[in-house]
Amino acid sequence: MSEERKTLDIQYRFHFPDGGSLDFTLSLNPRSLEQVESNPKNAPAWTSLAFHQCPNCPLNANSHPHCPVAVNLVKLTEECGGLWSYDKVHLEVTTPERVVSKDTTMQAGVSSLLGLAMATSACPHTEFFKPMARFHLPFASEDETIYRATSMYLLAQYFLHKQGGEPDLELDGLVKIYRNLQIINSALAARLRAASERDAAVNAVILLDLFAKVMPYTINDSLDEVRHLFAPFLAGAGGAMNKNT
Amino acid sequence: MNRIMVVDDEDNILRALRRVLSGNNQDVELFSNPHEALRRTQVAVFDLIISDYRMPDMDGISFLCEIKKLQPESMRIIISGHADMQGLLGAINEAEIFRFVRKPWDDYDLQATVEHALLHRSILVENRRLADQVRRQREILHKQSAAIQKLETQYPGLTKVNWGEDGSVIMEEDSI
Repeated sequence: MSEERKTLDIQYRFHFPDGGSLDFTLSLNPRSLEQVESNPKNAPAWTSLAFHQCPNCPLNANSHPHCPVAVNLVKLTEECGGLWSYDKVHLEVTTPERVVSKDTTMQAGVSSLLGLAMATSACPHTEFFKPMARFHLPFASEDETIYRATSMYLLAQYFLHKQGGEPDLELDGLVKIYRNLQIINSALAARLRAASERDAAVNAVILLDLFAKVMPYTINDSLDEVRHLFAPFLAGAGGAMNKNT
Repeated sequence: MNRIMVVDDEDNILRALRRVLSGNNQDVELFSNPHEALRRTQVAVFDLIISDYRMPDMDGISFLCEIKKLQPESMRIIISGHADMQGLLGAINEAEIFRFVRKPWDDYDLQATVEHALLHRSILVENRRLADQVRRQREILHKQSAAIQKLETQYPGLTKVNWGEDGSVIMEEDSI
């Protein structure tokens, strides 16, 4: 098998107190970072693009009969749709680099997986998150997400600048990305309400949406949550580093 | 300053709600345990209570029903991602909630709902104050009327005397 064809696999394994377990493996194309097994052929009705379509969706039902995010969530809702959000679970996440495990609730575990599934879908609004999926951090906290998303956005601005574009150092574009994500989360929650008997999957979207909500506030406050981490560097205005490099 | 209580078993949601609701002359108190929140209502009055619907220790309807008994003038809002029809009916009929807010919420919509709830409460409180004032004035009038009737019984015609400003009795020509 050539290097090109190797998939990048991320596995979520939920262990329940009764001894049962659930496995989800997301196999990503290492170049496009999209899931390779998105098969909408037998997808349920709630995955139709027109069903609770996001108001900001640029896709057309003729060319895209199914919502690319929803299609990625079919197995997840089939397996988790009957679980309560606060059910206890031991979760083990295996990425190519490491294994991370945690005792958590069903909603927190599904939320982490859901974020990954959305980022690796073909939804035009989640394209920005693909590099974050490549360096997936399970159970990321609010501060970790702020740090990762802003870092990645600024890295994207560097590449944009290198190819002659105008970099956005005010992070206005990032605010816009997260505002769009809030709209997607609302519509996705409506889809999942139709697809799930219990609340674990819907509450997972709600938890994920909290990150989308915090980002505009944080940027508005000039990233005060993480600013202190840079205090030593900013005190020297990066001078020492500049001299040494 | 309006005092708002928020109850949800998920700490991240509490933090996010504080972010949306703080400021704007609003003091927000957060509780992840409804029993703890109930204890707090024994010593502090809240203008608005926002509760999650599904919590592990106590469901939102039961919690808000208790609140209704303890603080009937507080406005009550349920916030939930997954309420069934039976739950919704319970919220409306038993806990007499002001609004049901869906999660994930829109920040602007939620702020508008909260402002609306607080305005509604202030109108209710003002109406009650005015009704009490009218009741008190009626009681005073009733007492005065009873005193006048008593005087009239004892001294017929006394209450019909036309008194001048200096205390003199004004006699009209017809009565002389």
